[in-house]
Amino acid sequence: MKTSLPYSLALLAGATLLFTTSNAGARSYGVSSSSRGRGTEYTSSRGGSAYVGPRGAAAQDANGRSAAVGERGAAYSGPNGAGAVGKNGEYGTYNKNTGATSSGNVNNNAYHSATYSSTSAAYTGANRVAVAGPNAVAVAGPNGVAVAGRSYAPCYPSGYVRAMPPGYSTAYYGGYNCFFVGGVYYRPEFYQGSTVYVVVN
Amino acid sequence: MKPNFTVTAASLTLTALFAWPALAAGATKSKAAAKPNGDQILKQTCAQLAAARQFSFTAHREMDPALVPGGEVAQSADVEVTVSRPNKVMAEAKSAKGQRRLYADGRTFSLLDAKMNLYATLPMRKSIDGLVDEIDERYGFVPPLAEFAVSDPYKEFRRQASAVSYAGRSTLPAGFLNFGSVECEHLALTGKEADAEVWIGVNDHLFKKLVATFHRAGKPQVRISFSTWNLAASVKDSEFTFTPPKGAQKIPMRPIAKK
Repeated sequence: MKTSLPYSLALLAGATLLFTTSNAGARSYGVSSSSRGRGTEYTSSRGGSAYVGPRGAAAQDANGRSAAVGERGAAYSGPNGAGAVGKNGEYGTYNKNTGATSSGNVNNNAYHSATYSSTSAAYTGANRVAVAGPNAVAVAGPNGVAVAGRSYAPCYPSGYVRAMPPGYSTAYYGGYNCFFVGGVYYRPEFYQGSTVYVVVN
Repeated sequence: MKPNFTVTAASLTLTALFAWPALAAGATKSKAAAKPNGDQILKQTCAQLAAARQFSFTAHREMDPALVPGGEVAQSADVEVTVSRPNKVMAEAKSAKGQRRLYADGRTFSLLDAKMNLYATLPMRKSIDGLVDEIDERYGFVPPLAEFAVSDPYKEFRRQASAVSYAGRSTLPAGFLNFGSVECEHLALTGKEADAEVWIGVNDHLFKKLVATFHRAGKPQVRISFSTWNLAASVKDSEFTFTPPKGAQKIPMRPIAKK
């Protein structure tokens, strides 16, 4: 069985995957649209962002390359091309320079298929899907999802604590009024309506 | 006289026979018409709130962990909200974790963590509606029970619920040995993100309870039980103005990451 997945569909698949992992809409019954099962968003000082949510993972770098994995497959789009892999193994690629599209053989028996380019790779198998780009890797498997990237130092929720350890004292450090305990300075902030404490050093 | 009686009796019998189906249909119609309209009940209750210029209410709110930012534990809080339309609101939430107060006086929005004595103040010249929208979009949270403080609560409910139906009349147990039980109209709201059940007092037409169940793994809920409503509260403007407590430390309010 052959399945054609031209450029537009590849982009559509990518957009769909990205959309399904993003904010769903407005608030409901006092629950912010930002906290309603959105998962965790990471941003980097170099303009990249990554997202890990209940239904997949997505990453985008500052140069417009994006990758996503979800329940329905994996997709990649960049300035020079796009690729997508469906959950049943169908895939499609597009090359901007040559205008060439390709559609792949569905590898139902082998339970996996993959697309590769010089800058990225998308893989789907029976139990997991993965996307790798120059600045990020996103993987979704039966037991969870993960995103890792070279420049994606997580700002939240990593790097902050939601309650101060006991025995803290107040201190001025790094230009901020901080709390100090156990050799660590914590800078208080309000985040999503709660008080959080950012680890300063 | 006898024949006349027979004719009269026959006429009555025929009339009854022919009229009965029509009467029965009429009775069915009136019975159907008598069934309360859930959407109308919700609309009336919300209109009553929308008409109140200054009002206050207290409630107990419980949120399952999946709906709480940070989400390790369920959030259970006693909430008190005071509103002065169109742009002033003060809310206080007390929980085991601490006490949080929120002030909006039409010019600034302030948030106080009373336990840690930390606060943030932001310029926000907006109505309550605009304030709720901006805080949700920019800072990723909703002021407690804000859906009851906005200018048009019915619109807010219908934005979240595509259908409202009447589920019947029920009694909400309340008070010592349930002596304060309240007879309520029970409504069912169906929505894309969550379904909700709402109980509205039969006598005062005010919200008594709301349970929203979200369409997510684990079906997390928000449960709100209202204890008091005062739709004619006497409130001074100064009550909405935030004054930092002695020794309070000003801290930043971090916007959420943009999509």
